[in-house]
Formats: sequence, structure tokens, C-alpha cells
Amino acid sequence: MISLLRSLWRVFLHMFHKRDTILYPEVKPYIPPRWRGRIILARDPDGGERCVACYLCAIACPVDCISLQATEDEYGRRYPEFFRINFSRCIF
Amino acid sequence: MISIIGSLAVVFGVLIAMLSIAAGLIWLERRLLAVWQDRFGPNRVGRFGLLQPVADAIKLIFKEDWTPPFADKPVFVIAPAIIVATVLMSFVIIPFNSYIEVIDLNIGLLFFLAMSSMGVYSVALAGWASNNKYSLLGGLRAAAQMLSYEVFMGLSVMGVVMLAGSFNLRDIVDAQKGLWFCIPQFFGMMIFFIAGIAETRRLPFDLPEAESELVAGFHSEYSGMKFGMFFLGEYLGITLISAMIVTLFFGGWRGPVLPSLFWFFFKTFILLCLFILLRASLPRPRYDQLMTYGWKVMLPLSLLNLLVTGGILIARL
Repeated sequence: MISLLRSLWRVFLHMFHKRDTILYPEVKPYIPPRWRGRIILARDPDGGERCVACYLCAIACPVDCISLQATEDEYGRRYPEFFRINFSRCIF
Repeated sequence: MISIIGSLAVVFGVLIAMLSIAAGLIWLERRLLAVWQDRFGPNRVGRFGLLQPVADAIKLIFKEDWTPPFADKPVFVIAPAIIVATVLMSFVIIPFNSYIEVIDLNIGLLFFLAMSSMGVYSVALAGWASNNKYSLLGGLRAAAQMLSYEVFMGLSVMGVVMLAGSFNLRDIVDAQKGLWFCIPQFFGMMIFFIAGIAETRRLPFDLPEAESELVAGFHSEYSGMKFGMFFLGEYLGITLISAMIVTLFFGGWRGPVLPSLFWFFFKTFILLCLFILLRASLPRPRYDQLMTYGWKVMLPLSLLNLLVTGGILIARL
């Protein structure tokens, strides 16, 4: 009986706690300045390929949605022959 | 002629006030539950979400009102009406202040007990007519729970009747001029409150509609406004029990300075919040615990309360 009353009182005290809800359209969440939401294969300012096909992204991706095939151009620089992101599988 | 118009005004005033309080309670309950769970609750529709019940009502009215083909149709239709009708009938005897009351019955308290017993038919018939095992289990539970808690609900208020010497609620409020009955009848009040929660099937005792075991209990098969009727009946029931506790134990409309109607509604409001707090904090007991609690603890306690009150009254003579 005492424990019931105590739990009643403790729930009542929650009235004076901070709300956990973030009122989304009014209060925007903090987004770090370097945040880039969409997955893209970035290019350098001249429009050339930046990716060196190191496969690190494909290994890091938890659902294996990135697939690529590395090749080399005539100067010996590695670049992906194809670079596919399976958006139907992507959990981001 | 004037008196007929006056009493009609009181009847419709009480009806409209009670229905809108029941609707407002939906908002209040969701808001308060949220507040006690560190959330905000419905705050989008209208200012502070106050139009939420209106939106809910519109939604319920426009929903498909489906009667399952296997249901017992006439009983299925009439069951939700019974609960709202019986609870609204009970409001007839409540004195809101010294002159606003629909009818001044000498057997007011008995009338209230009779009407709350009638409410059992609604849930039992709803569970039966749905022709669904979960509904039937819910209906059975509701019937057994309400019947067994009614026994000491009636006994717990007898102490008040003894002290006031009347079943008339107006006389009972008048008898509380000096001291509210919540002090001499403390145990009576606690027992009546617990029985009231069980009668309205509110959360610590909501086994008839225990959603984790029975889908939604007796109203599993109901949809649209028929479901809305059960909903309305439940909230009207809470309002009724709170109003009855105020009338029987907290001096009804009596209070200093401010108008009597304010005091009545203020006390009722506090009790309504207590009902919601109980829902926010207490878990549901097992069914056998509920029954054991009712018959082995509350019933002897209410009989003891009756005995002690009677003994004191006789000693005082």
C-alpha cells in the first residue's frame, strides 16, 4: 500500500520535470555543420573522380548496400569502374 | 409553466454540461498522462490542443460503423446505449449547488447504486453479443468485477447515511455543514473510491478491457460511434463517481467565499485528476488478486467501518 502511494507521488512529481519531447516543426534539432544527409559520390572541383576505390565504404556499410569495382586508368590511378548504392537496401 | 421551463433548463443544462465535460476529459486525460510521462500530449488541434475531442468525435462519426455478421445484432446495438443512459440517469440525483438539481429524490443514493448496477448489463451484454471469445471473457470479467465491487460500494456509503440520517443527497450535503464526512468516514471514503474505480473499469482495475490479454475486452468488436458510446460512458462514469465522492464525503457545493457551483466543480476536477494520476502510475493486478482484494480485504473492512460507525452513533445517544 505504501509503495503504491509512493509511486503515485513520484509520478506526480514528474509534472515538474523537463519534457523529453522535441516539438519538431517549431524546434529544429541541432545539425552539425559538416553534416551531409544524402549519400553521393563526391567529385573534385574540376568534375573529376575523387574516389580511389579503396572499398572502405563498402566494408563499413552495415547492410552492404554499396558495391563497386576498382580499376586503374592509364596513369596507374585507381578509380571505380562502377559505384552503386542500393537505395532500396540503404538504412540511412 | 415557469417551473416547467426552469426544470427543463436544468435538465438540458446538466445533460450538455456532462457531455461536454466527458468530451473535455478525453483531452484532459491525454494531456495529464503526457505531463506525468514527461511528454506534451495532444497540443496541435486548436489552442493547447483543446479541439482534440472535436477532431476525435468527427473521426468517430465518419468511421465505418460495422456490425460483425456473427454478432447478435439487436443486443449488440443496444449495449453501448445502456451504459451512457444509466450513467446519465445517475446524474439526475446529484445536487450541483443548493438549487441546481434535476430531481430531489428521497432515495437518491439508492437510485445511484441501482443505476450503477444497471451499467453491468451494458458490458456483459456487449461481451455476449459480440460472439467473440475475447469479448466474452472481457464481459465475464466486467460482470464479476462490477458485481463484487458493488457489494461493498453500497456498504461503504452506509456510514455516511447513518451519520446524515438520510438517503437524500441534499440532506447528506447539509449534514456536512460543520465537518466534511471525509474525516469521520475516512475508511468509507477510501473504500468507496476504490470501488468507484472498479465500477468505472479504470486503469488499476481495467481487467475487462486488459489490452495485453483481451485485445480490447468487451468492446473488441465495436467500431465507430458505438465504440464512442463506450468511451463516453467510461468518462461519464468517472465524472459521476468523482461527483458522488464530492457530494458524499467532501461537502458537495460547500466552500468559503467563492460561488458554490465553482466549489463543486473544483472538487470534482481534483478528483478527476486523481483518477488520471492513478491511471498514469499504477499497474494492473492479476484477476484473482482483484477478486481476493475485493472479497477478503475490502468487504470485511467496509463491514468493520459500518460496525464502528454504528457503535459510535449508539454510544453518542
